[in-house]
Amino acid sequence: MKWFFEIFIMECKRVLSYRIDFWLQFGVVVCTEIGIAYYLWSSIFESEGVTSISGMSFEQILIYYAVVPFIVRLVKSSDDFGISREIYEGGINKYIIYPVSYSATKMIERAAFSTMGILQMIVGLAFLSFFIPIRDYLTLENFVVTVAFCGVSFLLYFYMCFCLEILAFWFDSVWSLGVMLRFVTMFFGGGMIPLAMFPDTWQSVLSYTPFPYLFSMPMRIFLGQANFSEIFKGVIVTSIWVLPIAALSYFILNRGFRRYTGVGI
Amino acid sequence: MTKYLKLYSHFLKFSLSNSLQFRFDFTFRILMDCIFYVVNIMFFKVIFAHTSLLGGWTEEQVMIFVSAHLIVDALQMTFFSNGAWMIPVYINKGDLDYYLLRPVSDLFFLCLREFALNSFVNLIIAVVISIYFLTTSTIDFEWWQILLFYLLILNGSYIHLLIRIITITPVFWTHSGRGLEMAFWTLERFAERPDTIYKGWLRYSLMFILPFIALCSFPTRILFGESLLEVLGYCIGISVLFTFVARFLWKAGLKSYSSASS
Repeated sequence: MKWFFEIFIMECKRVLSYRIDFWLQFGVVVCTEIGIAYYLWSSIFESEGVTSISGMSFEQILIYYAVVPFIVRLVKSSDDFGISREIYEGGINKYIIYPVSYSATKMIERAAFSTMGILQMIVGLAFLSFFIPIRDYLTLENFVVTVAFCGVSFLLYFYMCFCLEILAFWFDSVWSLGVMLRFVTMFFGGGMIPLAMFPDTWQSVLSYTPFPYLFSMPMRIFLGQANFSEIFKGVIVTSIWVLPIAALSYFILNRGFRRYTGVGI
Repeated sequence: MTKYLKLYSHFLKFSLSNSLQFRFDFTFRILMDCIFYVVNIMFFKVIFAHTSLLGGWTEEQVMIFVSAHLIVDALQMTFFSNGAWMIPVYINKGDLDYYLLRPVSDLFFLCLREFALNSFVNLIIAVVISIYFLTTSTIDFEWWQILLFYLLILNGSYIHLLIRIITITPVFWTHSGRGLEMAFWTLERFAERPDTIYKGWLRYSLMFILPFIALCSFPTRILFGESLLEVLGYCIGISVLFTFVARFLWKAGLKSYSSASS
């Protein structure tokens, strides 16, 4: 287990060493999200003359868009997995020799990035609470449960990405597959628009998919819209989705290693 | 001019043979952009399930705007994106020498060297989507409005490239990975919504400082009976102004550039 902590700490240091990327660029992302959401939804509320849309007030929608980039960061971690690059360039060779699991190493690296995201979330929310009434909705209990649920969602997203990245054993380039997954999960997971805004039929279809448990469910917990039984059901359903996707990824990885020819081996 | 056309035909030949080398990637990239188009259209479909107007525009007006955005995206991905992506790498590694020594415009060479065939397929799809929204619209358009709409979209794509070059140039001084380009990609999201929703200082900033609303919002306005002179004057004025700014910054950056061998 010692290697587990060593990789984790090393990754945390690496993430924090790129401070401009870590703080400034993410700050631009959050401010842009809030800016666009403010103008978009104030225009809609103004033209319709209503106080809530799909049960969400303008204030709640604004908080949703302010918080969702943090949730996305916790769940998705970094966009760049580097797995396909390691397969193409032979960087994966060392994992064949080292007595560590490749998938576990990658997971720890991503987990370190997400853990640093919690720090970003705390600082970011404290800063934003001066401008947006986040404190009216946020409780310590909700915050802790949200972060904990993000841990389960992280596993789900990790294995989804991992499955696609290791297809690099067979395909010339899998970068576009990762981007496709990002588009689909952001839209159907509630990263672009709250799922409560979707038509009822779309919502019922989505409830049979893993997408609502990626970003939408943690956001509902954060806003205090999910009760205990819904959260419990969410954990169970997400875990049920994780198991077959993880099993599939291990199957693909084993098959991939069998056909892999590393330079210098 | 003939020299540049001949050179571009060579760029095309190399790029086409490169694109078809990786067939799976080629297909996946087309599919990826199609998903991007579907997500963009669905986003506004969801929005219009809750409102009849967005910043004073109806659903069919917004859908024409979305198609304009898809074309601008496909144009820059087809012609400029791959080339421009490598500029910060060349600056940092000192590989820019090769391009500076050619007897042609360095920015022409750098930005247009790689033609993305897969994105060209998506460009055709985006144009078809735009024609679909234009022909199914209940608004009456004159032929010259449609012609100007497409010409201003081309102009919007050019402005997109200029803003991108401006955000890349800090690499000459900072030697950071990508300069301000990542901020550019984030802020570009303002261009994905109709300009009619933006008000106050942000609207002015998006008109004159980072003119993202000149990319596809203003070209779309030409179809909706807006003042022709105002829209044309603004879009052309911005592209001329930003051409000068981009060239000035690029030349200033080159003065600070130290190549690998010097």
